[in-house]
Amino acid sequence: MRIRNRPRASGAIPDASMSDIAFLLLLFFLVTTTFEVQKGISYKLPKKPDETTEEVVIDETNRLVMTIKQWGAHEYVVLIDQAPPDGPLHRARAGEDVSLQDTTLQNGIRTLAAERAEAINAVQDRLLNNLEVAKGLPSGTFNSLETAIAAENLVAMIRPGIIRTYLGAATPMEDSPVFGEVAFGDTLVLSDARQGDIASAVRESELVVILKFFPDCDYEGMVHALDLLRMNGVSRTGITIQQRMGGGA
Amino acid sequence: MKFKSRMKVGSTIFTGTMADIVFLLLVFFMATTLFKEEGGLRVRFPQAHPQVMSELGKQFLTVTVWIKQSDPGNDNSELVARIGDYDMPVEQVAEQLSRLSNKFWREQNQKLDVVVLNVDTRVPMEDIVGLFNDMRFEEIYSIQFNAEDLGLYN
Repeated sequence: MRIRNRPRASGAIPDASMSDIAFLLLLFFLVTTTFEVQKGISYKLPKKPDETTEEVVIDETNRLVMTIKQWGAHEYVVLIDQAPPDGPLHRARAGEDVSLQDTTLQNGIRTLAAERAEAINAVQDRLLNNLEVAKGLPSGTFNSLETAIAAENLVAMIRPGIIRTYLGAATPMEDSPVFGEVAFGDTLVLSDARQGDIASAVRESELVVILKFFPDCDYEGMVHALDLLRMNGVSRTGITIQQRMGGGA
Repeated sequence: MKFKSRMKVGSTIFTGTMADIVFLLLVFFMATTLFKEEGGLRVRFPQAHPQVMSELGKQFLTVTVWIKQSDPGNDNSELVARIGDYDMPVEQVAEQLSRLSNKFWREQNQKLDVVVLNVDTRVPMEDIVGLFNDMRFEEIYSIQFNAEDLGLYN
């Protein structure tokens, strides 16, 4: 009679699925890992005054002066000190505090900014200058933007700005022989196949907004004000402090 | 006469070591990944719209400055600043930035591109404008005010 062997219990741990687990873990970390990028509002301080600095007087037609004070936590009010004559913020708001979030204020700033949109030639000149700096070439290397594009084998393109979405058909447009129709707030970009974007310039507004903060207004108020101005097409801003009343420095 | 069959070349790729390679990769990344704690001060960031915010690429040489009140919310409390691992009064920040800028130029032949400011929302503007003036005096002009995303539809 044939005796059947009893099934023996194996002492080995099955490891066939180990590689699947390792793959899964690897994929999980590959997909879920994020490299945090810090974002913020960029700002250029004015050059320090010295013998070589020329004093620039901003024409009153391009100047808006606003005093900002804090009105409780996260609330800020604005007083229009000076506004371009015959503009939307002139007189209408004189002596009156309005919230920084006030839509009439924001619309007024946007209209003023759009009316003072830079000429396309000025933007292209700045772009050419940025390109020369990026390439480490002396100023005036290229006669024109067209020459630079041909010589460096660059691609010219437009990155639409947010002002287009706010102003729609009312967005000031200007025709450029290189870029086609350029709207106020658009960014002109030059790129090449190897390095990608090399130089860029935004079609800004010539409106200059001076922000005068009360000394005890907090930093959040400044970032809110800058954010609001950028959202409405203003990139040229000055920041200062409202001097305390009754003497002092 | 018996002919020896020619050796055949297999068309399959040997995958027996794949699991070992994956394990090695996994162990390598597990061992080398550093979860670096942010060396700055604990601050409340202001908020801004993402459409107007820019991010700095790796090509920029930046220095991050953290500023907060020692007693947040109390305007009479002192301001503390941190650059790297060093704490200092806010009055010394511009001078320190200038030193760092000179050091970068001396050792790496690179200019400091941008100073990234991580400032607590409650810091008074009087101190911030004072810092701006000090930075201008040291010829440091380019700043980024770090902020949190307010969200696209706000």
